[in-house]
Amino acid sequence: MVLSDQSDMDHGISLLKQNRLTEIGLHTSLFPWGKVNRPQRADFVEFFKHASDEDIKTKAMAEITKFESIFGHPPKFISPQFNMHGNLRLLKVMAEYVVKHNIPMRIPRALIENEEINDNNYSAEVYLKRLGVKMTNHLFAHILGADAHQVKLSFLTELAQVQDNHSVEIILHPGYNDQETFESSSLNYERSRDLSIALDQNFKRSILELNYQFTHLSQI
Amino acid sequence: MKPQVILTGHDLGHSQAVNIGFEYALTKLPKVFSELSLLPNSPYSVDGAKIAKESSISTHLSFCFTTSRFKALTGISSLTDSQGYLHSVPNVDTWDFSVIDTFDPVDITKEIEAQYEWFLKHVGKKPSALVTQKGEHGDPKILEPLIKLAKAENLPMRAPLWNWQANYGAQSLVESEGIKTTSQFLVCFKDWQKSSGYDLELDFERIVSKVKAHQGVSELALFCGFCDQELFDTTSVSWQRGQLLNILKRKYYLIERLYDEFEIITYADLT
Repeated sequence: MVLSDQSDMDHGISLLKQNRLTEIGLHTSLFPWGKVNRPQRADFVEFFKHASDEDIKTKAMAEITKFESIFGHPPKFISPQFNMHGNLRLLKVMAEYVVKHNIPMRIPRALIENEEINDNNYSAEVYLKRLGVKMTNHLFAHILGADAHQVKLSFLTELAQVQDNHSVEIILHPGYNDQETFESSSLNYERSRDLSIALDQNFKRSILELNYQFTHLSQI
Repeated sequence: MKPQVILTGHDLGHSQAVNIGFEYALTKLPKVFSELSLLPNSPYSVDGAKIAKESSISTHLSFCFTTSRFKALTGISSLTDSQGYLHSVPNVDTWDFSVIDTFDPVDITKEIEAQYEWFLKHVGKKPSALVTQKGEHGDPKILEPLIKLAKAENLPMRAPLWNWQANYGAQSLVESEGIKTTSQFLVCFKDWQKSSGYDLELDFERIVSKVKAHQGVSELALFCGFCDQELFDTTSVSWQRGQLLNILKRKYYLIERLYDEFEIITYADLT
């Protein structure tokens, strides 16, 4: 869950309640995720260039505390926006919290500068591993672009190559696409693409046929 | 000489989210369309007509015969179910339009006349051309009455392709009747993010080379729109309509390239 503007957040919480969902993680964004002032990748890059360790800690903990006050318990997992926890200074703050509460984190596979998920963040990954933080073994995403069929095929191809007993997180961004989304995010029509993928029962069945089981991050 | 290309905004009037997307593209984003394709029988067609009029862009009439969400303008007939909704196409993937087999030619003619009258009333002038939403006029049963109308009104017609591919019998009939027409129809854009690269540009090159390799006028259909639940639940082309908006806002150099490579024309420019 993103801690966004109050009205959007209230709507999100009502959807969680309506659907009796309890596995709620925190999608940290450090800065207010507002309708008007929405931080972009470049803002985070700049922030990390100039911020002190204390600045980073203050912002990260403020967001975690806000989540705890809304839900009455720590998040079930943490998956920072743009995988910004690839930044080691932020990672250390978050690692301290997740170790204390035994919370899993998204594997820090992406570089904040790029939109691609890739394997080029060994330092962050090994840091969490040494602390015993629970993560999936893999993170798959095809975020931009428009060929839903090819995206599904790519996911299935990647899943088929995963070693037995390994775990995978697949990232989807399901949603409709309106003027607000379009103007505030470079990820707009792809959200509806992901909605169609998420609702595709054949795709789900194909994953199960590869001998996977669906689970929550808290259960890995 | 540059190849001639018509850039059509496809399916105006299809739904509320589609109309809002068109309005947004036409008022807030850089230029792209040389033609708009207006549907006459959707609950949102009147709003679509207003958008077309305000844009002053050349607008053609997209006859609609097989979209089961929309009603025929002539009421219950062989074209519709018992509630007046058009019969659905059993399988678009296999391009099975056998439903047209059961259409009564008299009902087809009446519906064509009604959809044409609707256009005159709501747009206030003749359409720039006659087309069909899914290319149903590639079927002679639809094509023949449409040819009569085109000749009577002296209007051009989109190439009567089938499944957007060559359809010699129908195409040669239109040409032999002296009706101005196009010869190729391409659906744009389709891109996707592979594991390590954005392939939009590659797809764009495919379109450019197809146009260049082709004799005659090509029409590029550009889907446009936002995506709400109504659109998502009622058509297989839902989220894809957002691609064009995204290109216009964030990758406009691709559209500029179309204008550089081709002579962008309207149906009125056909010779």
